[in-house]
Amino acid sequence: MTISSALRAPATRRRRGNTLTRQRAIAGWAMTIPALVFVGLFIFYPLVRGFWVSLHQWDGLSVDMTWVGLRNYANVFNDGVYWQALGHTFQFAIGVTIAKNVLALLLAVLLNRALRGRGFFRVATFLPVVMSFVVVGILWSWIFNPTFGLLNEFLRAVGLEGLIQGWLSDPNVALWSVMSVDVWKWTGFHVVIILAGLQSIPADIDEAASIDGAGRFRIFWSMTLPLLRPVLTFSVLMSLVGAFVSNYDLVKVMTGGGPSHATEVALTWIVDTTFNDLNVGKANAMSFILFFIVAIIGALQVRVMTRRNGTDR
Amino acid sequence: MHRIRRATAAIGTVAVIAALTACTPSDSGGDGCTLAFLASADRPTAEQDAYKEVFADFEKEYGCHVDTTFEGTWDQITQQLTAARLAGTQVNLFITATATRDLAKAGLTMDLSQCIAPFKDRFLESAMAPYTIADRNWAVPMSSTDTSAIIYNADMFAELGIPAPTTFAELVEAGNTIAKAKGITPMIHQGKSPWYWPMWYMATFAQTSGNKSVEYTEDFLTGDRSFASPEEEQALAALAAFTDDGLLDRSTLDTDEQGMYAAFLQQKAAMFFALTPSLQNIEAAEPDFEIGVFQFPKIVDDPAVLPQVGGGPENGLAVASFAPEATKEASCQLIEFMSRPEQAAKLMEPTDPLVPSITSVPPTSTEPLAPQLTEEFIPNTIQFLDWIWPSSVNDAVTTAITDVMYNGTSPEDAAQSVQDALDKLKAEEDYTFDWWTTWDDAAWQKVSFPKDMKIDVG
Amino acid sequence: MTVSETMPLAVDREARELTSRPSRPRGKRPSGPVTSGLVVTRVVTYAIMAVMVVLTVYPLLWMAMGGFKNGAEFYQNIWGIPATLDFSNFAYAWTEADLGHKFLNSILVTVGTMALTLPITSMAGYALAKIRFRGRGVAYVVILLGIMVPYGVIAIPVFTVIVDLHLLNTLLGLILVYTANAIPLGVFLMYSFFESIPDELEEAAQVDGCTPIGAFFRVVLPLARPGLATQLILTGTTVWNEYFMASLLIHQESLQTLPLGLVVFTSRYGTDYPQLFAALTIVTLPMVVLYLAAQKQFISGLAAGAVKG
Repeated sequence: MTISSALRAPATRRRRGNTLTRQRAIAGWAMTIPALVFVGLFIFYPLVRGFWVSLHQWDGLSVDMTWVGLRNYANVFNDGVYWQALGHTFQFAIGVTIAKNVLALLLAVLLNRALRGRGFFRVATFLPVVMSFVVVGILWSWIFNPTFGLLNEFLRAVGLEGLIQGWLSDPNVALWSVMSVDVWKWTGFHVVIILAGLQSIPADIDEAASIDGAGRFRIFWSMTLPLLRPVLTFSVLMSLVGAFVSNYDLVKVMTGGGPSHATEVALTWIVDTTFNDLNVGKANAMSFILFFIVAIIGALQVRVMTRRNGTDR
Repeated sequence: MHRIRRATAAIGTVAVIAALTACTPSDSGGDGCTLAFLASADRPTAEQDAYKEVFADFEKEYGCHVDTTFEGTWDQITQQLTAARLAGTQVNLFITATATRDLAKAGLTMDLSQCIAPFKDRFLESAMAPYTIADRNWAVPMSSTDTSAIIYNADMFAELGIPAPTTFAELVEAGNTIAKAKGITPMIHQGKSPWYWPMWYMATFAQTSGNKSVEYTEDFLTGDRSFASPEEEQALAALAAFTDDGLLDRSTLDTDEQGMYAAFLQQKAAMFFALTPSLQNIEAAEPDFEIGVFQFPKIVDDPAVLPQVGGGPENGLAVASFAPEATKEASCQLIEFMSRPEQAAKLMEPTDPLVPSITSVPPTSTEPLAPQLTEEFIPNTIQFLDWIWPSSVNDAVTTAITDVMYNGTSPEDAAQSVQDALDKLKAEEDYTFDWWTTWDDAAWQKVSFPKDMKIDVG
Repeated sequence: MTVSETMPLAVDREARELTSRPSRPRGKRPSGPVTSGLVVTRVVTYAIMAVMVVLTVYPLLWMAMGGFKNGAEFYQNIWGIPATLDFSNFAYAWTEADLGHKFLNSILVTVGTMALTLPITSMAGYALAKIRFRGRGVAYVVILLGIMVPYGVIAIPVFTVIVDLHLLNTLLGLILVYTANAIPLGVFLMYSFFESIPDELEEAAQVDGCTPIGAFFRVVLPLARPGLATQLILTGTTVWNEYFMASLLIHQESLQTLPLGLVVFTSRYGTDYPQLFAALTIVTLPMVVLYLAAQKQFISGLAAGAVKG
């Protein structure tokens, strides 16, 4: 009997009763505590301190802070830009997640049929992941540039001038342009994941189904997709989580939150409020509200995922 | 085998940890003769070396060593300063860019008036203005002084027979000629960046206010004047005319600094309004046509009103108030030393300054237009208004400008939105512009030099 | 061969097949009237693949090409190939920004962060996924909540914590902060991978005489390699390119990391793009190399790992 298998044994098989539970607890906690210490010390403790500061008026420079109670929170509720920014954050996260995964799924399906060059393709499309956001931001700002940008030049060359927009200057278009850059960066990553999932599905299933008379689309929808579900779930979760955190650098370099806050996301507005407006208390209040909203959604997601995996056993 | 590997790993880990935790002994500054200098790293090493050279000379003459730290970008100086204060790191002198007012308000920077009194005439007076708050000096200019100009393609103008415009009507006419002949947009601007819109307002408001823009702005901030007043509204309306009359188009909002340069260099635009460093950037890119500058056009008829534009020094030298007391006198001496003609020249030379802010430094700029800029533009240069008003008002002004220019907002509504922003700021954060009126003696004590200080004027 | 030896091998073989040679469907390929449709699909597929490759590789080339141009050429010929292969920008970038020193610091910080993150996340991921102990759900949620807190937001308090620990201006302080920020996502990844490894695998290994620890290291952990490789690439790139926290915690030129050094090419009134791009190319190269080296691991593992629910 191994230690870990003993630790994993269901409670009903306890032979030594509490000792086993204690063994499990010791091993489990011993292996988990380092992570908890780091997260506690460098993430949650600062968050709590941040909450304390959010109850004060502070410019981040002065030696003293002034107590203002919940005034910052009231100011945040009155701050139209903040709620706009929150909306943009969610639009960003959900939008890029859908785009990345649908695109990756389509590409993976196509790739699955390709005979050659698949390896090279996988390597190439993954490269944007390792590039620094500075280069990515500059590159795409210039691709979208109205005067010399590649995109408009291309559209003019193929006669599709009517499609030319103010890619980064039109408030209705700007956020979508920034989102498309995030999709460009990460799609390769998701293609790899989904392709791996597709390739582990034996082709016999496809064949058996087509013998039975099912059309290709039907096969895909009713048989392949359900088998892909765990992979897709993982891919969707990864992109959703990443999108919340990765939007700051991209927006900062490409638009700085403009035009007129059309691409402002929660993080850029919080950082702006901290370092430009010199209103650290209010910025911390914003962070807290953001954290709570996202935490609730996140916790729900985790519950769904662990419950599903639990029952699958 | 396992044991040897484990031992090597252990030794290696210890060595790495030792390397990682190594740090220089913190300067406790108890000794009156070690000073610390802090500046941003976004400057060429030649410039950094010039500082080190001057500090070496200082050490030779006064026996005080100056530690230099170059880190971060110019807009991070407030963070660097706060980080130093919280960590107990010594900072004596530092370079401030646009943050002087905020730092003074927070009590982080010293009142230099008493310190520089014996040698104040070394500094260009117009360059001192942005650092003068409540009739006291909080920093001294130690770099080139910038101004704003409309930079234009002189060859194209000559080809089309257009003289350099002096009034707005002439500018519109020039724009029409260019648009018709070349099919390009006459003017381009880096509209994508919000930081460069206020300078347009500064130029128009300087004229519509009868050259009282700084005074009116201060009154607005103290609550003695509403932003929704005729002069401000006229200034905004004048900006709307730039888009209405075909000088600037929507592509401006998409254009960043590089886009602006590229468009100008590829002759897809004939003019742009920018700060003088842009002129140096353009020339570094070796355009294949002749470049000229002209002042912002007159938008009011009154001949007594000057076409003033915003400008100011790039670097301000200041002293941190949390520097150890024993080192404050030496800090002032260092300022005096750095502003001596030979030393100041050494500091400024690597930057090819357009207009040195130390009067004794001869203009050595290789910029061919430097004499014209010094003679015509600098006298019409006033301090940047966005160094005076707070950030959220700046936000509102920028939005107001782009709204009247591109979104059809009326100047009255736009002006009102700026007033609303200030009112909101006051209600939500107890903002006071004239914070110096709320300071008591103890607060002033913290930022003042010792009364019995003696400075050697070399 | 015993079960314990064949199991990993079988998985490896499948993984190798998937990454190196194009796979053929195990059944018979349909023939006849479907073939022409197949050709069209194939052409479309290759076309799309070609477009995607250009879209992703060109930016890297563009950045490198920018380093070869001088100022004037950069503005006149933004998208094209440089006229000459002038390496002077690269040499200048190396000395001007003292990239050699900063490379060393960046490597130390990145390696240090991974050296801490990988073991911590592996242990926590394994424990939370495989060991049934009281409170593991809560611990997992708490760690995951850490993902929701982007570090730019807690910057000042984190700075204060580092100062209190007397780790300001040390690479170790920076490593600890990076590690803490990498742990939540890392634990999530490792948890997912460990979860998908069936318990029987470990037990089968035991049956054949492996010690419990041996079983963990030789059977379970290798199967979670994709999780480790993924973390290596994702966290490694993040740490390598990170500027903000580094600028807050490092205040000594000899300890600066690469991103901090790149600042010398920017200035308030203009960025020297050719030089900056030359520097960025030098900085990005190791990441590309690391990725190319690790991608085999990463992809082969994914095929065997996260796939099975």
